[in-house]
Amino acid sequence: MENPLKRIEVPIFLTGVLILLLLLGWGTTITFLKQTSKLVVNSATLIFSLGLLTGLVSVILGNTKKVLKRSEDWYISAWTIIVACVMFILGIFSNPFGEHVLFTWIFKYVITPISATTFSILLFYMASSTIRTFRARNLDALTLLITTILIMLRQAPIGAAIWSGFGPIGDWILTVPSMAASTAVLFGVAIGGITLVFRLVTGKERGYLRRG
Amino acid sequence: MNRRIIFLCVIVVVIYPLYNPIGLPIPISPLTRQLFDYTDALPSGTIIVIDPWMSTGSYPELNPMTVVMLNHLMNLDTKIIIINTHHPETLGIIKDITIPMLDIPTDKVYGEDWVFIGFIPGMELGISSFASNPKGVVTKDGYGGDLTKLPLMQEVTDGSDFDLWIAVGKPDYALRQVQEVYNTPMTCLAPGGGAAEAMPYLASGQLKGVMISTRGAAEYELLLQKPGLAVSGMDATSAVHIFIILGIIIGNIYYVLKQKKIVGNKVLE
Repeated sequence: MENPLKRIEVPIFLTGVLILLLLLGWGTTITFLKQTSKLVVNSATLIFSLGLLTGLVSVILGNTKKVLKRSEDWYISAWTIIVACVMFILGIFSNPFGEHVLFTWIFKYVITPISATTFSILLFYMASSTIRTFRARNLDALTLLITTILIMLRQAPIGAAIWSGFGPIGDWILTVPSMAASTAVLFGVAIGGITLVFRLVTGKERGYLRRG
Repeated sequence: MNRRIIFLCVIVVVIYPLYNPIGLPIPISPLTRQLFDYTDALPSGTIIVIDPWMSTGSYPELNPMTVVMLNHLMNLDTKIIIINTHHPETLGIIKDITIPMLDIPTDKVYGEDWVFIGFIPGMELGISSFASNPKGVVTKDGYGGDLTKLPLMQEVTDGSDFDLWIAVGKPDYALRQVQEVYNTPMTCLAPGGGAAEAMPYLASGQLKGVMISTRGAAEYELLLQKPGLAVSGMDATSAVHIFIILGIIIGNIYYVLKQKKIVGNKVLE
């Protein structure tokens, strides 16, 4: 006989109930509903932090499979496992706030500069792609090009050194047309969010579940 | 054009101004002025929560803004609660990089005038949890001490006790969970790519001020009369921007001339 807890209706029902509890607690003055809503939020915070541990386990298991199968670049997976385990063990043997000297040293002088460098590399690719491919092929592209140049001259002090008008023009672009477009996007996102909540509560949205 | 040439040129235009500063003047924009004036006029005893959403990749842009804002607040008669709801790595950035860079006056006492609370998981959930029960969601501060015994935390019971919430990064989450629920005033220190997201909230009055990227941080440093990290990088920013703009203009001139030659050939045929 099929295990009733494995039926897909169970998580769908739980999702709907929890969302309704959250919605009922918002904007109400009934103490029980407010407290229940807070309990749901605090429980989700706990689950989120446990999710970090799940992520670590998932990374180690996924990379272990690659190492065992000797897939392409398996040695990078082996290095990932070693680094993850070292940082996890150092974290376990420090106090809860990462005061282990080696843990802090690795984070401050290895991880942080490497991550900052990785993001900084984007500058080179953005400069290269912008210069090589940004062409005014039609009116829309020309408008985008001119706007981009005006905003860049607003952001860099050299724009004001060339002509003092670039600052006010850039500010106008940010506070009028860009703001209007962002507001429209926000409305769309908000309406999409309401639709998504409705679909989650009624069980029509099942993307977060296993297939089906 | 071979992109390696572009990469080399970018390296040169970034490094040269850092070693040979040009010292271009930095005009103050109305947006930064608005935020500075609002912050400077905060009443005595204002309780401020600042939530930097910095990752190891984004901290070069967001850290100067956070540092200059905290330096301003530390020199006012305000009480500051620094939290982190973004990511565990942000805890290390704030504790080991941001806080050591601050110019904290000697009369500011930890626990009475400012508190650093460690990581609160959940992102938007974490903001909501903290706002509804600041002393319940975590019991230790960022240095391992008992949070409930700190005098500053005795003054707060929920989000209605916060007088200002400063979002560093995306303002949406705090707007939904704090500004809308407790009517707490908010300001935002937005990255360059996220400035467009913050502007509608500034126009509606939900945000009282916005600082945009390192340019905004440089302007704020000049308003504080304490030039620092952001100002020092502005010459390199100018050089790279001009290089990219000239590259785009030259590329488009070449493109138009090339197009005319093609059209010219068809006419001749």
